[in-house]
Amino acid sequence: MLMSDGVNTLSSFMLATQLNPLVDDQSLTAHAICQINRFIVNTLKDGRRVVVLMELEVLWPGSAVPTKIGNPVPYTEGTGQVGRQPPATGPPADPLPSKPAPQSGGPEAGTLTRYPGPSKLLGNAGGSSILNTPGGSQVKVVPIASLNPYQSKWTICARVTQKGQIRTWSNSRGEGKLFSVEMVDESGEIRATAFNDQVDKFFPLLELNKVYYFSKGSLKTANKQYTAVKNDYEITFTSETSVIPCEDAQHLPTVQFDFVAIGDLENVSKDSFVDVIGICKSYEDAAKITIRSSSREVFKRDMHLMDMSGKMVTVTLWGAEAETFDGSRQPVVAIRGARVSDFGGRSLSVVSSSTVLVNPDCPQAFKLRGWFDSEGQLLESTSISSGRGGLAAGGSTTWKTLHEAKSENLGQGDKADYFSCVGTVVYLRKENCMYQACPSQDCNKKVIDEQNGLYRCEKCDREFPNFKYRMILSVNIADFQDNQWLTCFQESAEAILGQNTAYLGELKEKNEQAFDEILQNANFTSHEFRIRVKLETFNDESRLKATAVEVKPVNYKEYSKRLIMNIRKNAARLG
Amino acid sequence: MADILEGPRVRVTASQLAQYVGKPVCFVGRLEKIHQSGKFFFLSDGEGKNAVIELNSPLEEEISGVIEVVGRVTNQLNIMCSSYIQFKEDKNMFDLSLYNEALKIIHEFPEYYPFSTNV
Repeated sequence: MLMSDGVNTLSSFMLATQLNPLVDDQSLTAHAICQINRFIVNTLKDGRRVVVLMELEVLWPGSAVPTKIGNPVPYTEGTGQVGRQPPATGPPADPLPSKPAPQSGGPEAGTLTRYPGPSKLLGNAGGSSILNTPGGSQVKVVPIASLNPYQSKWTICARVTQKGQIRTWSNSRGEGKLFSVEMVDESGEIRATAFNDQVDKFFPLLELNKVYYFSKGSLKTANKQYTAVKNDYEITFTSETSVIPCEDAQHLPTVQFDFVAIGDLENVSKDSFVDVIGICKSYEDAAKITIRSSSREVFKRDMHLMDMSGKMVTVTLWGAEAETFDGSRQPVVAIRGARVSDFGGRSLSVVSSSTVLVNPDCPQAFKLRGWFDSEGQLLESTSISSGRGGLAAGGSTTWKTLHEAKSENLGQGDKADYFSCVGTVVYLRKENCMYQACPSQDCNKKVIDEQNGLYRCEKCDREFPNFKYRMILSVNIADFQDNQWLTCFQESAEAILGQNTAYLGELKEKNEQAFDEILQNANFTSHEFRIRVKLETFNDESRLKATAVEVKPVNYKEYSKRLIMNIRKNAARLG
Repeated sequence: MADILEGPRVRVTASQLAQYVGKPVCFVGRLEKIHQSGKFFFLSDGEGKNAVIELNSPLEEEISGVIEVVGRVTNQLNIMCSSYIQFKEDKNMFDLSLYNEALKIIHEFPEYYPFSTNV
């Protein structure tokens, strides 16, 4: 923005973010006469000065001022008179669209437009306060709204309103970690991100809802894609950044929770974000799972929060939070911005923008603690999250008994259905449990024995001197209610038999008795089966086909937890 | 004492011992301490409560970890040990608190677990 007082002009003016609406609603346009009530002057690294306007009043709209007033010359520091070309380019990236270039009127118009005086005075002009830091040095504290990329030395006094989790990345350029915080003061809010070394330095220091002096750091244009924070810029902590706790800052807005009762979560729509508070009645062990999309391994932990509504909800924690969470003393847990999921009834997920507070310092927490210690702990809570195993399948495991799967008509729809169950092998069909397959990698097509020592693969259109064995084992499994025929391919058959296919193939050829024994021994073994069911039609005949997608050893701990939970649920239903 | 192993014995927590005086019980707990005489040892259950296990003759081996004891409850609410076995925890840890949850269930629903409670 270029401004003139009728005598001099200066091109390095900038509007603070909060004044942007003046431009948006066209009240600040070229030639407007303005009164500047508050401003800050910043010196850039190269010595140029930038005036940031904090408060400004438009006295005359630009449309009412016909033209430039007087014959101002560019202001040169020191003289105030002699014309010298101001830095020609001005700030490289003015936050404003370049169209408004208001020139304020001359002295005769009675405006109070000030130009920056000698640098000694500058500090007083912006209405900023001088605060003593614990270190004893005097720091000029500026409002968040005045921060912009053209300042290098600044200190803000702000309250942390959101503290994200540490996230790591790994790509072709290397790996690293980062975390973000959001903070407010009276003037506005801003997001700040710390990387690598700064994560180690600041992550343990910063606490939600506490106030700190933040000094130095680089500012860059905010990527609105990742944040809803109302600020055009965001801070990146650098090695120069310092963070000092501030004790007396009651005036700053605090984090406001808008707690939703757990009983009311059922009425909240999926994927919305809520604040909840509850007693961590129980919690599961942290489990390492692999995220399917990125094949990244993360920790995941479920905890169960209960509040005075007597309802309980399952909350899933991820990453470091899952790893370190300790619910052993049944703490009060408040979560800001948990995502509502309709997985397994209603459940909550702590996402990267959520904040988890254990035993927070707020009245609701004290009330809840008192209630729980006196009466709540005796109350049998009912969970709005239905039972699910905390098993390592990305939380998407739906446990069913074989009878449930049948009575719910799984697989009868257009799409295949998946479920998991704990079952026991009661029969293995030896006939045709193996076939001779194309030996080339990734091709498992059955080969045709040409009876001349060669095997032909129709798919590869080639003949091979050899083949590999593949398993296609039919197994009947049972649980306490029902049984089910399953087709088990390679890996799942190997898991049931406990042997690899190549060895089994050899055995079948050379020592059928030993092969039979292996099949025999697999009888009455129990496993966790993940089953795919789908209605398949051959020659106008529809049959429900069940395939074992995965066969794993039974996780007895999880299994007994599930059984106990089901018993409790059924008992509650029977009253 | 061998007769104890022939009949059913109820699984109990330390706080339930009083209800089973003179009866055969099965108790699972983590070894806390062995008395220097070698004739007693202390096991803590899933609720963190201790039970005293009495032996006829001093221990002849080192024991540690989670131990299951079968024995008769004495008037002092100790368990007179008939046999004990150490749980192997080299692959998986035994979850005593989960075991405790299972105990609660068998005692809460005796109609479904008759052999577990009607001794």
